[in-house]
Amino acid sequence: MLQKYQIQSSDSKETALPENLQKEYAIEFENVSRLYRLHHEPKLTLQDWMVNILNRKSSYEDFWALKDISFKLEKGKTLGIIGQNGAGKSTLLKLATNILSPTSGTIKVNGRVSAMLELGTGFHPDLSARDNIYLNGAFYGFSRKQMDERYERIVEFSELGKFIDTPVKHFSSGMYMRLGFAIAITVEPDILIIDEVLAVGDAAFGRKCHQAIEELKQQSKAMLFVSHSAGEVARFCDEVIYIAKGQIVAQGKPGDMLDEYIQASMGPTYFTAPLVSANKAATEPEAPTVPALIEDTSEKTVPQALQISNGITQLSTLWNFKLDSEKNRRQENPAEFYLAVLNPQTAPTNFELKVYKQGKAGSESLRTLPIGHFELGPNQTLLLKLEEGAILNSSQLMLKASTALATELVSYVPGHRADAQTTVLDINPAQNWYFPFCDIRFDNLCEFEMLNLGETPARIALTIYPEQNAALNEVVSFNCSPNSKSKVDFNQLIKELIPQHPYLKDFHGGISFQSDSSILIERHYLQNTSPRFQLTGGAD
Amino acid sequence: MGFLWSLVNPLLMMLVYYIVFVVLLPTSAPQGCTEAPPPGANTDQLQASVTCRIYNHFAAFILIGILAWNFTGGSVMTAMGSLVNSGSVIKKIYFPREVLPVSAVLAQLVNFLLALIPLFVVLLISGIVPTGYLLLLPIILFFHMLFLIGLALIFSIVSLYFRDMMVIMEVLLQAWFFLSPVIYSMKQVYKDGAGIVYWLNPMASFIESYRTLLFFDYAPELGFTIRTCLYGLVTFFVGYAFFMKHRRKIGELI
Repeated sequence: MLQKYQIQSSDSKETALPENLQKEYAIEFENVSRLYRLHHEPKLTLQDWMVNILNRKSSYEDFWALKDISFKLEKGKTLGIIGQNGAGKSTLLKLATNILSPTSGTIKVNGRVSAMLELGTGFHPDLSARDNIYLNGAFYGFSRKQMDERYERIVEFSELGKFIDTPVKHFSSGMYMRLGFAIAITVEPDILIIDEVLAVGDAAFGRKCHQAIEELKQQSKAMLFVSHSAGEVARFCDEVIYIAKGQIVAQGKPGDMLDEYIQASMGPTYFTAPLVSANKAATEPEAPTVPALIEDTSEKTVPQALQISNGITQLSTLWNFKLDSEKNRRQENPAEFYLAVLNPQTAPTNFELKVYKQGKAGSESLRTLPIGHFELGPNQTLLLKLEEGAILNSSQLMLKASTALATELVSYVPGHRADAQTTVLDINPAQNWYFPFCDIRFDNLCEFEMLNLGETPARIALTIYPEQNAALNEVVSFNCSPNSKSKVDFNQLIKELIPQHPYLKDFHGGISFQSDSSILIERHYLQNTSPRFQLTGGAD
Repeated sequence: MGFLWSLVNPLLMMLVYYIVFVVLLPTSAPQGCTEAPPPGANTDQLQASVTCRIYNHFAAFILIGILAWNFTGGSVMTAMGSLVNSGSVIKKIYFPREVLPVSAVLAQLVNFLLALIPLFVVLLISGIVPTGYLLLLPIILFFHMLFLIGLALIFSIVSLYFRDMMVIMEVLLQAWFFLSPVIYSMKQVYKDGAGIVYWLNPMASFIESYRTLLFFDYAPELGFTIRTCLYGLVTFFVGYAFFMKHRRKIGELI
């Protein structure tokens, strides 16, 4: 059953579109405008009308909710619409769903539209969820029998279970959303319209919705997508329209448009959330020495999947990171980016983060965008997750601190094992080495390889900066004989330490090595779990 | 069970009016009158026999009026709220909006059809056996329905503009109820003015048509019936045109 309709305002003449284009469009807007008449004294009742019959002057002002909007949504593509509240996004969607009619202009919609506008897709509050499923089915042109076939799927997807016979007026907004979304994707729409609703659901359901949207995308359904989540927009949209005050400000790739939008409107802390903070308590007892862990391992070969990197040997107040723009293109598993910051000083410090973004498409100039200011206590590590919006289209990340810090940018691709990276040993031997990011849980592996190229034995002290006020000073110290290579299995070391320091069980934080003579240290690690899970781990 | 409940109201109403008009205010119908007019009877004699028939079967007479009226009043009232009360659905999803007022009328039609069952029981108890004219009933019913759909389409839109229209409408319906021959017969009240009332009040025509077919067993007058049906048809088209003209505004008015 194909629903085809064309909305045309009475005063506009239909412009014959040349059919020479091969592309098939799901939605076409042509110079669409929508006028609202805002009455200063709205007359909604007969009483008002009678009272005001003598006072005939009616004061109102014209408000153009949308002005001259033109776009075409190809079949199989997803168009995102961003803009501040009141910019006209919802009006646009209501026009596309035929709930409102345009004041002027032409709208063509080709295919069955399934829409989730605001909360709930048209539920009757007094009817039960079950009745509303069938009612909605009827709106989409399904018979009772056809809905019987879909009913189980809807209930299963929405996970509403025993609430299915409850009137929907008693539902929470999350339950409303679950039911609405489950129906919207089950009625086999050709065009799915989603208005800022996914934010209501919990994380698990959000993930489920995202998967469902991906599936619909693979079935090459067209989608019109309004969201304030930069991540969602970047992930799903092929093209984005940025609307402000009812007009299209810009139209283009999601990254460019999000930048435009962020710059125009958004507060700096929107994108970055601190996940883990680790405090190093000053009154920690001296840790035991574990010399047994030191072994000569020169003959061992490095496993393929291990990533090898050098630590930071010089503290600095200014850090610049080059961001790999290819890596953060949206894929099935978008890369997650984290910034680990370690303050080895005994005084608190603070730093600010900025990104450099490419200017408008085609121009070479860069512009800076603030991300936020962060405080960092003495001997503290901080792990920040960089949301997609912060990294998208950014070429560089800049950190400026008041005192010298060690920082590390960590990228993690879920379910993807990084290819082995070979160390570039053009780095100079140094006495102090900092590794701000270390994550020892589950099957994450972490080893440190120390290379003493000097002629004298080196005495190396290892300091751990774990999370939550439980820092240890100089956990292990050991000697490294001249011209030799030693290895510390950090997983093993942590295990040995757990009996005395149970809080090390799920260790994540920073590590530093202090040596009395110059050495080289490599970190070999394998990150099998997302650093993001630290949040849930820490909450327990 | 649900449908039995919908029959309680018209039957109780019938009981109330029966008590008021037969027990408390007995009409001045002559005792021992005849329902069958003598052969070659003049107008007065014909009228007397009609009055006599009404008097003898007052419960059945009044029930026809009440049922026809409940269909009308119920349709107008529920249709008026049909758009306003479905705001949550209308704002979220597109479907032809006329579905709402039309379905309000159809729901009332179902009630009306079900209520015909006890009506026939009452008719049979009164000793009135419907004849072949019963076959014309669906035609009148159909045009009565068109008439109500027309009204429903108009008032559903009007109540969007004026949210307090319901209050006014209750009064207007009450007036319409008393101006229509629900609890009296046309001749009894309007005497010679009946012709004009038929022109002005389509409900009078519809109720009279139902009574002609079910109660009096007359052959309905062709001209009268056609005019009644035309009322239904014209109201329907006017209502439809009105609705279509304002349909585009429903989304923003709600």
